[in-house]
Amino acid sequence: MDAALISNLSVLISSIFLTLATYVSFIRLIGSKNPNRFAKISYSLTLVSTIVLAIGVIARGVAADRAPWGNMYEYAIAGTLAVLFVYLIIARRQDISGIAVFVLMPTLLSLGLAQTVLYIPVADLVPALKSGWLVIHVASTIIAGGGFSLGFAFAVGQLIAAKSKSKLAEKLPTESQLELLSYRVSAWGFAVWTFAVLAGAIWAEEAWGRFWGWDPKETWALITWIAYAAYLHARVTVGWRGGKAAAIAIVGYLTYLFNFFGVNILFDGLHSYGGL
Amino acid sequence: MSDTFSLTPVELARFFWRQLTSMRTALILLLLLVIMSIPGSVLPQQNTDAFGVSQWIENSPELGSILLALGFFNVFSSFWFSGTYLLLLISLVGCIVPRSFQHYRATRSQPPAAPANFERLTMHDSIESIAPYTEIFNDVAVGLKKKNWRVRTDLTNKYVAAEKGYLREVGNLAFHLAVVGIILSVGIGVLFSYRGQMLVREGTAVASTPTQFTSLTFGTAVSVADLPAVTVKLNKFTAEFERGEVQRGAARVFIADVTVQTLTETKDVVIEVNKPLLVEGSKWFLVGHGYAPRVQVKNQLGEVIFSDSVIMLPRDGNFSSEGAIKLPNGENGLGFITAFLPTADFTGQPISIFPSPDNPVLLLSAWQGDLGLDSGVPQNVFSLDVSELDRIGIVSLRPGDVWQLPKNLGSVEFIGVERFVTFDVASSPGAAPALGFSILAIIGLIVGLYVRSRRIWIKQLPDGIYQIGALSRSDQPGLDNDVALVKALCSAAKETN
Ligand code: HEM
Repeated sequence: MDAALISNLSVLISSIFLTLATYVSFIRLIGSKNPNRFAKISYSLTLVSTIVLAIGVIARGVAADRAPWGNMYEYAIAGTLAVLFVYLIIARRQDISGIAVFVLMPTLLSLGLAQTVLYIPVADLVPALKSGWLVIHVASTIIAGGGFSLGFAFAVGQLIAAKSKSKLAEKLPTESQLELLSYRVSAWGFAVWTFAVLAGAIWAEEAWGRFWGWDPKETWALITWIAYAAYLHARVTVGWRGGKAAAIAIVGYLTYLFNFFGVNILFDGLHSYGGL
Repeated sequence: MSDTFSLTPVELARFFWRQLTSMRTALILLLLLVIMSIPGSVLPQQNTDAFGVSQWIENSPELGSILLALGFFNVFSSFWFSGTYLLLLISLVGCIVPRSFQHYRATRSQPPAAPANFERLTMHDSIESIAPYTEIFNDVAVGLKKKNWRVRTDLTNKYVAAEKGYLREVGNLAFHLAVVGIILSVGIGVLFSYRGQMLVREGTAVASTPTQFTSLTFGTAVSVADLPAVTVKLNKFTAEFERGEVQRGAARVFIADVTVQTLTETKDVVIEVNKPLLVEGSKWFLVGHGYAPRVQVKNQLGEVIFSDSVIMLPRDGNFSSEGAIKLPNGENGLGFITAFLPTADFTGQPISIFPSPDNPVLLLSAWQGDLGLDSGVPQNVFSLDVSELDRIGIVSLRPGDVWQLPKNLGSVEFIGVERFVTFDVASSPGAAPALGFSILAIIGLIVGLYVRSRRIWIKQLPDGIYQIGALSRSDQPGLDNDVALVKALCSAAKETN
């Protein structure tokens, strides 16, 4: 069997496990007699899904003979892996099973989208993308994106938990727990994003002779960066703490998503390598 | 009463300054920047897509002219965008500089006194001990000092105060100052930068003099005199494209073999897409390429009147390319509209179906008459204005083919396929300091986010009870460890007793 096939199969198997994990954590949320048990099963299924997905991403890299994040499909599977990985680390340390569905459902969605709409077979890269900085720059945007995605899921949970009258809210972790979780992963994402933007600027200087050119992708990367800086400030500004800050984190995440989907598809910039 | 109207000018100025340097203002300015950047990515911008801008205005002239006047086609240098980030810059400096002094003073003074009410702190706990408080305080103080806490023992009011993690604020300040540094480096760097583009055919050389650039722009603080004295000769350009089914025709390899000559040396180097040539402070980037078929034209007497490679601009991803050849000769001038197809396909309209020269064809449409090159009106070298010309004929040639022009006007030979490349030549001296500040920003950010800044107090209550209170000024976990440490230090005192 060749590596490309192994990769595709792994991604498929991973999404099957992820579907099960999502289902189980949904049951855990809407009410079961034994939530702890379901939480554990969900965790194990997610763990398996993550390991299989990791194999899928690595096999893709072997098949293409380069870092496996050269087009939207690869970015999506590697990004999903990053989200799952960070999620598992947090879930190992503390009980966040009440919020698991909020993480797993979008993750499943992105994996599904990757395999259907975004899928393209293995191919080499155009010369502009052949650079050590590609590996570093894109890898760091993927890792930062993992943090942002979780921050988003937690922020949404936080807003729901804040309306503590709803039945759902009682099953979630507390508002302040979610706020802190959201902050941690988002702040971490922000630090890595800062580095990603820097690495991108260095790469742009090498490839195009200008480190900043207001290309749509660059502009939206900056928009995301400023949005998260605003979020970090809002958290410590009187009158903005809590819900409003969470809303900014959500907006920040939407700008990040837009950079991935919107800019690749709508705009015709230097970065339009999407391969759709 | 905060009635602004009764304030003196100084008070008013102070009021606005305090407003400007408040966190809330900074936050709102940041959010404003987010919103203002969006039109800059959605609308075409003059500096990156001037053609798109003129099209946009053509399509909707009324809205277009309003948006143009308001700077929406040049968002990032518009007055409202620059104004906002300048305000943010001032706010930032006004906020950070006083904080730096404040923090400097804090690092030289004692940890603050114990608060009256420990219940309000992030964490509090208590422990009982029969040991004399002097001994307990001593053990706690010594133990904490060993772990690099700054400690203050107040025996009159019976408490020990300790603080750790001053680096957090240092990191935060460094980050903000570095952001100022980045903005200034980029802003000032633009004044000292230049950037131009030139097209070089295989076998020819270009010098970095203004006439050889197809475009050239300078920052306000530099001029033509700052261009380096460099000559670059393109010996050979190699391009390879994907031949597999997936992404067929996508670029795979671009390599330019050049000879670089400066006042002091001559050397052969290779320029690739991600490997610019760095020479005399300027960087030469390989940003594009295309075909320059070699053509020879003879007149009716059989004398060669033109023999050269001709740059044709690519029009699509498979390098269907267009250009023109102009041979002015008064009323008897000859002009050719040319199209080059590296892998020609004639099943429909003639187009190229692959970027490599697998089946090269040169299409020529020949015209005769006064080309108008002497009229003084600048012309586009890549197109021919045929409004005043007579059509002679049209033909497609393969390498080696000769076309005998009708009416015995001479002949045209397509000798062979050659290439040209596009170089961007740029100098951006702001890049190095911006890079330095960016690295500082990242280090400062990590320190500011992850160093834990916290205070801890222990005070004696009646009946041998000691209360411990701890305050975290960061959202990192671990405060419980600090409380546990102090408790352990207290117990140590008890046991030694
Ligand atoms: C370009 C503008 C700015 C950016 C990108 C920015 C970014 C950030 C970031 C990322 C943090 C969190 C990192 C850390 O704690 O080390 C932060 C914290 C902070 N910023 Fe800014 N900032 C900007 C402007 C300002 C301004 C104008 C002020 C003053 C009004 C300010 C005051 C603060 C303060 C006090 C904190 C500490 C918050 C805390 O204790 O967690 N910042 N800023």
